[in-house]
This record gives sequence, C-alpha cells and structure tokens, in this order.
Amino acid sequence: MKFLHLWPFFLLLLIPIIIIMYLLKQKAVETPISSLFLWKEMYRNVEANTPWEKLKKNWLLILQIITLIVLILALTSPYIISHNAGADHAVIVIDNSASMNAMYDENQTRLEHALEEAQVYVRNLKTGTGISVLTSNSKATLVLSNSDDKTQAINELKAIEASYVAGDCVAGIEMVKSMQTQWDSVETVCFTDTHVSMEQVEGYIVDMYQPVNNISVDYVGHGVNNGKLVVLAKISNHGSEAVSTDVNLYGDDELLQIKNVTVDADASEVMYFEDISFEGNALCVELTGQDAIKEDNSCYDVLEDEKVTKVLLMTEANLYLEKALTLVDGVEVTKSEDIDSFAEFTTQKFDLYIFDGMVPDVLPTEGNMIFMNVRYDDLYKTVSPMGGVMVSTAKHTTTEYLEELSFGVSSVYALEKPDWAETFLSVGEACVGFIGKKDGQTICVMGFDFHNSDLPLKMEFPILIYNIVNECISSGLLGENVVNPGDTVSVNGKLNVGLPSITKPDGSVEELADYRMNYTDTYGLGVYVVDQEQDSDTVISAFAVNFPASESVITQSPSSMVQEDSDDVKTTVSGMLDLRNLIILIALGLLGIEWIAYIRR
Amino acid sequence: MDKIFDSEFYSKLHTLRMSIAMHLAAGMSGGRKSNAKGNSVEFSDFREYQLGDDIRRIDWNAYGRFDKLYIKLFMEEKEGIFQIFLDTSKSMDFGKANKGVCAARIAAALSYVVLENSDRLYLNLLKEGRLECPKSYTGKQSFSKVIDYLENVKFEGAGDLLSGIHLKKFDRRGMSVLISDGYCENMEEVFRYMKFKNQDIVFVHVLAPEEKNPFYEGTVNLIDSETAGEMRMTMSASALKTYKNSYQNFIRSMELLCKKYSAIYIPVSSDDSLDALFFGALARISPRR
Repeated sequence: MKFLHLWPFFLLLLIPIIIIMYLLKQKAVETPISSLFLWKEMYRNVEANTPWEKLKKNWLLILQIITLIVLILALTSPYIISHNAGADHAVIVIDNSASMNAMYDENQTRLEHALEEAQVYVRNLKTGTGISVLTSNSKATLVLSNSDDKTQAINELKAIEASYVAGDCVAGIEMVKSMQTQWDSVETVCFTDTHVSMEQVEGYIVDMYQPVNNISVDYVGHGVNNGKLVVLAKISNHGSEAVSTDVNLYGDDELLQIKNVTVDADASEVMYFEDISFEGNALCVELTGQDAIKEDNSCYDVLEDEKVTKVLLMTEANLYLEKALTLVDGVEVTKSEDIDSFAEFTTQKFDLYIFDGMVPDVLPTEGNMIFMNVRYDDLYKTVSPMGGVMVSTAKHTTTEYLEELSFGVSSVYALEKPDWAETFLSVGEACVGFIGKKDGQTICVMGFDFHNSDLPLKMEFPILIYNIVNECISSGLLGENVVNPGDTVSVNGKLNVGLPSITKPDGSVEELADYRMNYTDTYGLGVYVVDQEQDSDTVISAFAVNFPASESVITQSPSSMVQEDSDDVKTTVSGMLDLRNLIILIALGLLGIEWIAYIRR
Repeated sequence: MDKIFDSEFYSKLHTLRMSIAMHLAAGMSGGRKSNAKGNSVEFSDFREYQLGDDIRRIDWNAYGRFDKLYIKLFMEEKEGIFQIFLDTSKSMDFGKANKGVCAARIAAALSYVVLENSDRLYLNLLKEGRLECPKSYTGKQSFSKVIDYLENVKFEGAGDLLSGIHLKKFDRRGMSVLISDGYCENMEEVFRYMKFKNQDIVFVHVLAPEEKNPFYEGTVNLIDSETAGEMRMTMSASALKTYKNSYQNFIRSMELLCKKYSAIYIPVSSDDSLDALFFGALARISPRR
C-alpha cells in the first residue's frame, strides 16, 4: 500500500492527547456501600486503581484510537498498486491546453491532478517499460521518448507547465499514431478534459473534467464616439447559477470605470463602458471574485493610433474603384494616370500602391501593392487568358461572408499562384486572384479589368474592395493587435534602422533577430509592447494575448461522450485501487461499534 | 432508619406465632413438653419397675390393683434455650430498605414466638468482636423489654462475628439464630463453633436489594462503611456482571456452609414485606433433633 499524502501522519500526535484526555476524563464519585467484601472478589479483574490500569480493557479508548488511525489513513489517500503487465511501451499524453488550468478540486488544477495521476501510472508500470511523454494543446510536443527510467519520466512529468494555448489531445493522439507503428504493444493513456477519439490507438482516456463554475471575459473591443472611447466587453457565465460580479475597466494600470453585471447561468452579457477618456496603449476588463479559471477573468484590447493610410492609385479611369476606396476609413487616395511619373511618387512612401492596367518598371520596395489586369512576370506568372467565364470566391479572410459572390468576366488571365500567396478568386480550378505576403509586402493580384466584368454591379463589390484594401494596409509595425496564446504575430519593422524589441507582460525585454519576422513566443497572457527606433523617432506598437474564449468552457468532456460502462474513459489510472472510500467506510463502522459499546456500557 | 416496630408489625406478630408454632410443637425446644421423661407433675405413662428405678416413683395404687410394681412416668418439662445473635456491624446499616431494621424485626418476631412458648431467650448483639447480652428473657411479659432493647440497637463498627461468638458461654443445647449479612471472612469458624457447642443453627441471611443488583455508572470510589476502605472502580457492564457472579457464588457458599453444619439457611431481602417474612422465610424454622 502506498500513500498519496504523507502529511496526515503528523496527526498521529493526537493519540497521546486522546489517552491523556481519557486519564483526566472522569473523577471518581464517592459511593458508600455496606462492605467491600463482594467487590474484592472481582477487584483483580476490573479495578482501576492506577491511571495505567484504568486503560486496561478500555474498549472505548481503543476503538477511538483505532478510529483516529483509520481516519488519518483515509487522509493519506492510500492506494494499492497492481502493476500493469500488458504493454511493453507506454505513451502518456498530457493535455496542457488552457482549459486544464481550471480547478479540479479545491487544491489543484486539472493539469496538476493529471500530472499526479500520470506519476502514479508511471510508478505502476512494470520495470523496463518504455515510457514516452507527450504534451498536447494546439500542437503536440514530445517531452520524453521511450525511456525505461521511471525516475526520469516522473521528473519530466513534474516539469510540464501549464499553457494558455487553445487545443486538446487531438494533436497528441495523431503523434501517438505515428509513434506506435514502431512498437508491437503500446498502451496510450491520455489525461485530458476534452474528449478525443482513441480510434486506432490502444489505451484509454483519464477524464480530468470536473463540472465547475466559471465566468469569463470573452471579448473586449473599443470604438470612438464624440472623441470619447466606448469599450465593449462580453461576459459569459459557464456555471449553473446566475452570477453577479463587478467588472473593472483598466487603462494600462489605471482603474477607469467599475460596473456591475448579472449573468444568468450558461448565458452571456454584453456591456458597454462609455465616455472613457484614455490615451494609453492597452485596455483591460477584469472581473472580481474567484472561479475555476482565474486567467480568463481578464481580457485585453490594444489602442492603436489612428493614422492616415496613403494610397496611390495608378489607373487611367476606374470610377468603380475610386468610389469603393472612399468607403475605407482613414484612407487618403492619390490618383495618377501617368505611369512614367511613378518614380516621383515613390519618394512619398505610400502605404499602398494600386496598379490598374499599368505597372512601372521598378516596383517599390516598401508599401503594399495591388495589381489589376496587368502582367508582371518578375513577380507572378500569368497562365492563359480566358473569356466569358464566371468567377467565384475562394475561402479567404478577404472573402469572408462573400461565399455566395459570383460574377461574369468577359476577359481574364488565369494566374499561377505563388507559394507565398493564397487564392481568393477562382474560375473553376484556375486562380484569377490571389493575395499574400512577400518580403514584408502584402501583394494582391487580380487578373481582370473591372470594366470587363459585372462585379461592380454586385452588391458585394464595395465589401470585397474594403476587405482587400484592409488586408493590404494592415501592415503597421505589427500585423495583429489581439491574438490568442501561441498565435504568430508578424512584426514588420522598418529596414536598416534599429532592430525591434519586445517587452513582454512579465517585464522582460527581447530584441528581435530580424526587422521582419513572425514572432511566436506569445504564450504568456497580457500586453506585449513592440518598439523600434526609426530615425530619430521611436515607433511603439502593442499587441495583447488573451485567454482563448473557447477554453473557458468544455462542452464535450470525455465521460459525457462515452457510455457509462465504457473502458475508454476512466477517472483514475488503472492499476491503482484507491482505498480512501473503503477506509472511510471502516471508520464509520468503527464509530457505529463505538456507539453501541458506549450504549451498552 | 425506619421505625423498627410499628403497628403493622405488632398486628402481624400473632399470625407469625401461629405459623411458627406448628413447627415448634414437634420440636424439642422451648415451652413444650420434653420427650425426656423426668420429674414433673404432669403424668405421662406407666411401665414396670426395673432394677435401679427410683422406688419413690413406684405407683403403690397400681401395685394394689394389679399386684405388680409399676413406675409412673412423668413429663420432664424443659425450658427451651434460644440464642439470637444479631450482627450489629455498620454494614447492616445499609440499603434503602435498611438491613438493620429488617434484622431487628426478625429478631423481635422470633423473640415473640420464643417468649410466647415460655422458653428462655438470650438476645446477643455482636459488635466489633464483642458480645452484648444483658440477660435472658422469659415469659411473655418480657417481650416489651426485648422491644425496648432492640429499638436502641445501634449498627456501627466493624463486624467480627467469630470473636463475639467465642465470648458466648453456651451452657446447654439450644437453638441459635444468627441474623447477619454474612460479610465475614470466617463464617465457617462461627458455624463450627456453634455446632461444637451443640447448637441447632438457623442462619437468617439479610441482604439489601442494592447488594443484589447494584447500579453504578462511570468511575466510582466505593467506600466500605465498616472499615472506610476505598476501592476505585470503573463500572462497566462486564464489571457489574462479574459482581453479580460473585454475589451468586457468595449466596451459594452460604447455602453449602449451612448444609454442611445442618443449619437452616434463610435468605432474606431487606425489602421483603412482613407477610413474606412471617409466612415465608421464618416459617421455615423448625428445630432438628
């Protein structure tokens, strides 16, 4: 028998106290009798002349001490190990996604409980079993590969840290499927709170899910109204009871406003903070009180300076496009029909160049570009012209909600999509429009003239142009301002000046290795500030990493997805027989016996 | 202590005399006609003269009529000797129904019957190894003295029956009634001595109900009323059970002791009613030859 906790053994010190209390318990009552003649007869058997003799055959005391010992034993969570003799290899998959930060019980999180159970599982394995340990969230990480050293495996398990990345064990199971091909017999044990299919994998899930009351801030956004900030926050209650809580709005570290909100069980509330005067970088909405996941009680939003984006439109005449561009906020459009004068414009450093039917010999090295109805073989290839075709949208952020859009084109070039780009307009299999990022520049190409299509007549036309332009002008110092943990943030620093540096939420500063790169170390929650010395000025931008809203609630726990008697999901590792409940029953039985003994006494 | 002799007691005495008298009529003791023939005025029988007979007892009238020498036999009236030994140790002063009161009543009742039969009564009080026996009583008129004496008995001191009994001078054969709770290490010595002194023994064993079924809880300090000795006990079901076993063994040992010395054993509970005493326990007294 082994024990999960050893500290309750300190309580054995109570035993002498019980004995002392017994010794001091009762003062003898003076009782005159006629003669001790008969009592002397039994004197030798039941006398209690000295304190220690008093304890002789004192069943109540003995029962109480036994009961105390049994209760202490129960507190130590004893268990019996039955060694798993089956597989020669064991793979432990630990779900360390954000939802595993929820409290499993009062003392530990789901992840901590999972690691504890996993250590028990490792101890139970027969000697010589090859142990592999994986962590899994959005992606799987191999922590230990096929080691027969139990101590090493336990140390690796202890070293696994919580993450705030969304995900589950799917990635881990996929890796297991690849790994297990090299072994004959392997048992996979997956410690997770989200159900995952174990098809083609020998093993079972250890369910770490426990129903919890959790309230979260899912989203924070902002707008400007009459020069004042309006902040929007979405509060969700994932518990079974309505919750009333204070919601604090912070600007950087300054408390700006407090509101109270009551959210019904399993419902969400959207609330607004209005008339906010704040000129800092980051907003934070925070809930007061405690719940199962404390990390999702805060959510950040970043304020970016509104700057005017300069767009150069090179076209002979495209009224449709000009009109559509006026709908884009913060855009200042300069139009030119003379491609020869392009070199002069480049000195003005536009944020976006639109080449409609014309293209200069030398392209600008900074700023993003849109090519319409032009060929530029140095950058992309055109395949063949097509005529009288219907163009439809392909799945892309620029065509979101425009899936039904389809328009006719009398003449169009089919394009050869480069590796760095994604198709957003197509004719059948042929690409007629793509967008992507090359050397820090976003480049969009459409192989037709708007005048040769009925696209401008479509209701969706201004939306498509808005999306394309937004996609092309979003490239400030940072590509994104609010991301989830583990997401990539593209940093677009200015070339040939100081390298950008990032100040993380914990205060540490990291200088980036390149001017333009995808920054991936976004695992901590909070606001990351990016700054770059540009000429004599310091450009500062920020992005926030928020707890993924999808991880605040688990809708498909392992036990809820299988039948009750299924072996696929267990609540504890096999091979461990938990004796706590049995011992508590014994203690109750002892208390009953003690009660009967007391009554009969 | 309860009043020893109340009106009920006196009214019951007569019935007691009736119930005990029948038994005593067949006995040798007291106020009755002795079977031994002796010098008396009461004629009993004739028999032929034999050598050695007292010639003064020859019935000359019979000789005249039958021409044979006949001896007139007369009843020899003998006075029965009754010894009542009352244990007056402190242990007798115990019980809600006081053992001492019960014992005094039994002594008085027996005295009444004895005196009614014109026998001689010795009332002996055994106390701390001493013997108090002021004088003998005889005749019904002495009963009031007996009552007065018993009413003033004080139950105190330790009980040492044997030392007290040894001080008694038994002149003649008789009946000795010992009224005690028997809490004495050397009861057998007492019986043996009385038997040696040619006594028919009646042992009236008086115990209180509290001694038969004691009810104590928790840890108690038992204090001996005679010796003031203490005994600390933790009462439990098993302890009380052991005590009751000891009690039964004690009763059984007294019965065996009486059987061994041909004594009449009369167990009495101090809460027995007078009726139960007079028609039950005491009615069993019948002298043996």
